[in-house]
This record gives sequence, structure tokens and C-alpha cells, in this order.
Amino acid sequence: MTKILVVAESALRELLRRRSVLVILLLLPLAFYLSRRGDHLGQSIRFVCLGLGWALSTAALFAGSAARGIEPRLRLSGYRSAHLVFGRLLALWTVGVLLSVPYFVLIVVDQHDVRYGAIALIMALTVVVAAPFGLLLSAVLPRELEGTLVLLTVVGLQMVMDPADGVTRALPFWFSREIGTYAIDHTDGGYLTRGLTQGIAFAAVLTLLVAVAAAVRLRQRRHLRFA
Amino acid sequence: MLVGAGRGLSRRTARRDGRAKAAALDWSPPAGTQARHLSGGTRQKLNLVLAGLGEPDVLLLDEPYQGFDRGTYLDFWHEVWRWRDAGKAIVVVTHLLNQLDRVDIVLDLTASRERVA
Repeated sequence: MTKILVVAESALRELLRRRSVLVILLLLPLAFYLSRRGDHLGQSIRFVCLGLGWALSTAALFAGSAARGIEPRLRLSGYRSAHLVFGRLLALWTVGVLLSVPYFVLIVVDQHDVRYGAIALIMALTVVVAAPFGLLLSAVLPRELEGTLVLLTVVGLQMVMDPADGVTRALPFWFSREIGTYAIDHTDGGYLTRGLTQGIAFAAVLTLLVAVAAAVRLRQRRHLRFA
Repeated sequence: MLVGAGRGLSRRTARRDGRAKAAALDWSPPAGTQARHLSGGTRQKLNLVLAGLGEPDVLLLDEPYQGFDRGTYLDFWHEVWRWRDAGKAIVVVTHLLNQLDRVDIVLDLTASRERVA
């Protein structure tokens, strides 16, 4: 556990050192929120949650790419791949919570007649899903530009596709639209259950895939072969 | 601290050992400096300090003196000999042949054809 905490602390230090990136991360969901603030209050909540997911996934993508060089060395220094993955995830989840709290307060102050508990749940699930999603992209697509383009595509599709369409369930942030409907339009609990199930499933699968990808990439290789 | 924790060292021990190893290479790391801002030679010193943290039994060093000035180069070999006397196995990959009389085993990796030429 100590090793996970040390990795998390180092990853947090690295993120906090990039102040301009942090400012952009903090403002990106606000831009999403304000884009629909004028015409449809409920839609602005859905958009801000997607903005949070996008911001955190991007941060995770860049953090994962930046760590690729040092991770083999840390692996040789006594860390297991799980220490590195969960330490980094812990740091990103912490950043995600810190990013989400101001927006939750904003919604509480600015919006009425919505289910605040459900909105908090969307934000929590968004944070839990976005971090491994970004790390997985960094594991699969080593070049940051490619990963950013995939993120752009996923979030763009998430915004424009009809959430009722079955295909959209394959998108990682579908739950935010579903639980959002429950929270904003006061629909029945079926929306909540479906969204919660999809969100938890995506979080579990993405986290598992990130752990497996790191374990494969950082496995110990047998260099010397004696006949 | 990050590398030290991986090798089971406490923060205090990692910091103390790191500073001692840096001092042996005539380097006093200023607080708050990021590795990417160090010069090539100082970055190599940092590499050596990190490699030695936690007193590993085996060290594999591939031309670890790139960018060192003459004084630091000699300090480095003194460290190598100190580690050897402490019972560690150290493999140094080098193209510089002026210290070969002070090592235990020399493996010449030159291909036989080139050696004849």
C-alpha cells in the first residue's frame, strides 16, 4: 500500500506542476456547462459531466504517456505493475474529485428541481471511468495525438448520438446521459439502474484492462538463455 | 523517494543515502530542481545515484560517465571500486580502456574479424 501511495504522490506532484494544464482542465467543463446554460438547463448538466469526463480522460492520457519512459525503471526498482497502475489511478481519481466538487457546487447553486444525489453519482462514476479510459488509451496508442483524436471522437459521438440508440451503450460515458435523464427529468428508477450498471461495468472492465496491459508491457523477460 | 520506496527505503533513508551518493560524485543537488533541467553530466550523476539506492547486489552500468568532467570520472571509478570492495558485482560497459588494470575481469566484445583487421 505504501508503494501505491508513493506512486500516487509522485503522479499528483507531476500533474500539479503543470499549472497551465490544470487551469485548462478546470475551465473545460465550464465551457461545456455554459454552452447550454442559456437554452436548456438540464442539458448543461449533461454537458458538464461529459466535459469532466473528457478533461480527466485527457489528463490520464497524457499522464500515462509521460510515465511510459520511467515505468520500466520503476519496475526494476521493486515496484509491481499493479503498484504503478493503481498509484496513478489513485492520483487521477483524486484530481477528478477535486475537479468535480466545484461543478457540483455550481449545479446546486444554479439549478433547482433536480436530483442532486444522482448528479453526484454521475460525477463519481465519470471520475471512476474517465481515469482508466485515458490510461488505457495511452497504453494502446503510445502517441498522444492519436489518443487525443480517439477521445475527441468518443466524446463527440457521446454528445451527438441519441442515448436511446442501443449502440451508444458501447460508449464509456453513456451512463451519464441515462442517469442524467433520471436526475433532471425525474424519470423512473430504470434509468438509474441501467446507467449505474453500465457505469460500474465500464469502470471495472477498463480498470482491469489497464492493469493487464501494464502487467504485459512491464513483465519480466528472460534475457539470458543457457543451453 | 520514488525509487527508494520501491526498494523498501523510508523517505528519510532514501533522501540521506541519495545525498551521500551525490556528494561522493561531488554533486550537491539543489532542492526543487527537476531532472529535465539538469545538464547531461549531472543527469548521469542522478542516474548513478538512483542506481545505487538501496545497495543492490548487482549493478549494470552502460557507459555511465557520459558528460562527466575528468574529476567526476575519477570519482566515479573510486565509487565503483568502493562498491566492489563492499562485495557487489558491477558490470561497466565502456569504450575507454584506461581503467582496465583496476577491474577484476575484462570481456572484450569486439568481433573477431574486426580484431584481426
